[in-house]
Amino acid sequence: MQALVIEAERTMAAWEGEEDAPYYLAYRVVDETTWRVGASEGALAWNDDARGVYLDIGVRVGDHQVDNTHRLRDTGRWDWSFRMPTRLPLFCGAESGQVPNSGVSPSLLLSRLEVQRKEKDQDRPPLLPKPTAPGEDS
Amino acid sequence: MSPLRLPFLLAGLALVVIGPAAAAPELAPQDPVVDALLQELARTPELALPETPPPYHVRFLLLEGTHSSASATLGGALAASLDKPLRLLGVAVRVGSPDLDETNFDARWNQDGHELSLLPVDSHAPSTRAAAWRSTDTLYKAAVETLARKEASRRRSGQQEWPPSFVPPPGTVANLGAAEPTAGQAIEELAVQLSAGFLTRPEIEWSQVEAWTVAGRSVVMDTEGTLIQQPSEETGLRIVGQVRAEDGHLMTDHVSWLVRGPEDLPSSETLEAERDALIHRLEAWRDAPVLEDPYVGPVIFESAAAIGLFRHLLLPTLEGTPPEEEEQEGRGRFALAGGGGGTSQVLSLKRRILPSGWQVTDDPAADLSLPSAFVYDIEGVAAQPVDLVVDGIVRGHFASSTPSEMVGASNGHARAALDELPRGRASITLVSPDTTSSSRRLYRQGVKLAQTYDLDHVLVVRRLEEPAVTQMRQWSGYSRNDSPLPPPVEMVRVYADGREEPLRDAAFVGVDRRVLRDLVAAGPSQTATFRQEVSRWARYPGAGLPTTLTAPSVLVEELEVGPGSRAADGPPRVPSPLAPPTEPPTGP
Repeated sequence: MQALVIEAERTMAAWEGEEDAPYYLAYRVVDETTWRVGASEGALAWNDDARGVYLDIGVRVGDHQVDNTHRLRDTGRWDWSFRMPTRLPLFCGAESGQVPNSGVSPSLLLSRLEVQRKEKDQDRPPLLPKPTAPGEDS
Repeated sequence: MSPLRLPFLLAGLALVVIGPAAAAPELAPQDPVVDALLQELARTPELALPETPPPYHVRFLLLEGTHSSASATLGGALAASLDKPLRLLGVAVRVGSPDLDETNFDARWNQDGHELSLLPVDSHAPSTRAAAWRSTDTLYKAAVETLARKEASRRRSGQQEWPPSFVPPPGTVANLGAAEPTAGQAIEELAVQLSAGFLTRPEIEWSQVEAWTVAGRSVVMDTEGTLIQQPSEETGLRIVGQVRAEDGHLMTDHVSWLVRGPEDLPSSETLEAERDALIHRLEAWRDAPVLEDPYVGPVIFESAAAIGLFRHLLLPTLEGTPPEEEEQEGRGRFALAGGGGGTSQVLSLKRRILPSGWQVTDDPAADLSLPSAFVYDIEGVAAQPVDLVVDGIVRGHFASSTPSEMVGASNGHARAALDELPRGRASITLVSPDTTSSSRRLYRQGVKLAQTYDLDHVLVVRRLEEPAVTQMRQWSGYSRNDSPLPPPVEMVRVYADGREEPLRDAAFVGVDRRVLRDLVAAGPSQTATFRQEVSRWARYPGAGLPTTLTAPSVLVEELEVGPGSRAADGPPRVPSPLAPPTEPPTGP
């Protein structure tokens, strides 16, 4: 964290006085360890663990009224102000995309909703019976 | 339909049910995974849709072992996954007959008879069988549909003669053992140690070291009775650096090793020296002038660039498996190439590819200490040495069990990812000229030849861009559709007095395999092991098949080299945090 504080201060100081200097700089760090374990048909299918430190950087140029994060209408240009997170070394990286959310909702009674039959799956069932475990052979 | 070799399969079953039989192809005293796969293979003749025969050939390819990978930058680990079990299954199902089956046909979104499954990391028979059962069932049903489309497409094409779809393997049984896993911690430490060398190099804008090792076995088994276990082992190390010139142009270059085990890597001192040489190359590139005017004249390819020249221009022309047939939509016959259809870079037999006196051979079993080596290919055919080019004329192709009009049977060069049709590809290839000269003599010949073009220097290319590495951080600008040869990353002008002048940002113009016929001299040979890309879509680090190539430095009579066209981004506005702080200006 100390390295990022120093780098933020150094960056803003280096830009000071420049016409196109950013008015806002943000670092967001996610330091996480992930364990993934999966099992299928009574066997361990995968068992992974990974540590990742990710850095998301936000740079805003302009001012609070209009800056680079505002999409300009009718320009047809992609907004490049968001980029993929950078992976940081483990011992000293943020997460983009899906964010875990929690929701609380009551059960609902809708007055009207149309429901139709699901399209029939054209795939055939397996041609051979599923293999059996030892001792289950018929 | 080829007969299923039931005695063999029953012997395999016996391993589980009643213990090892005398003639059983036992791979290990307890091998629940292989035994489970053999049991499932024995059931495949029972697969049948109404009015449709069962598959005539099914192959399972098991890859299992222990895998470690690590990456590091500036002395810190970025990611590490150490000593993880790996178990993959490639399933191949053929429907029809060896004369005509569904494979090697552009089935669009339909499957072409090959699928990859993840097997459980536990050595667990029921789930292993279930995974094989699901893949086989899916592939069989898709294969039946694809075969019907292929037959209809051929009727529309109007072509009468087609090479067979498949030559079944001989049903070899062999156990060549497995590779012992090595602890992954060492490769993580190595990556961290090597990455620290960039800490004092603020000119290098980005750097990363990647290391990986995998050791275990591959087991191929099929309904012809094939059961072959071979060791499978590969260790890789890649040091990548990126630098930016004052005009904003970026350059990414690397130094890489691909060997069998970690113990086959060079010593730490050698690795550090090679890393430092990479740093010096990148720094020299940064200060080199841009090639302003097009150059037309002789070009020397030496060191890694010589390997690159033959890798990109020669090897694809010798891959003899016919390309995928394209589906005919009833708009007439499509152009055939390579005896099979679609598009192909393969050069027909008896055509000139190199000057007189040049030879090209390939022997997958030439040096089993290389990660590119194998005794049996992934279709279970014994690898055979093959004379590909004799006296400059193409006399053979890398061949798989999918024959072409030119090569009727496999020569044990079938290679592929687990989810694709095996194709004839290079493994350990040797390019030999009739005579060689020293580097100095090659330079003298080059300068002399340049004089006939009114030039006072010859261009010497030492390294070509590695697209898979470049695309780690930037758009490569290189497309195989535009040029089969990637642009140079290290290139110098060499004058008559031996003076060298580095250049940057250049690209080859209008180059193709015909350049190889214009080789006028050869110098010392070098050997490199690299990953040869199998598809232009699979161009990323780690993609491709380990391939070893030995080739000499060469003098090409005439090539056009023009300015590069890569867009330049601005240089960093804030100096690198690795740079020493600048002293504030002192008083007058």
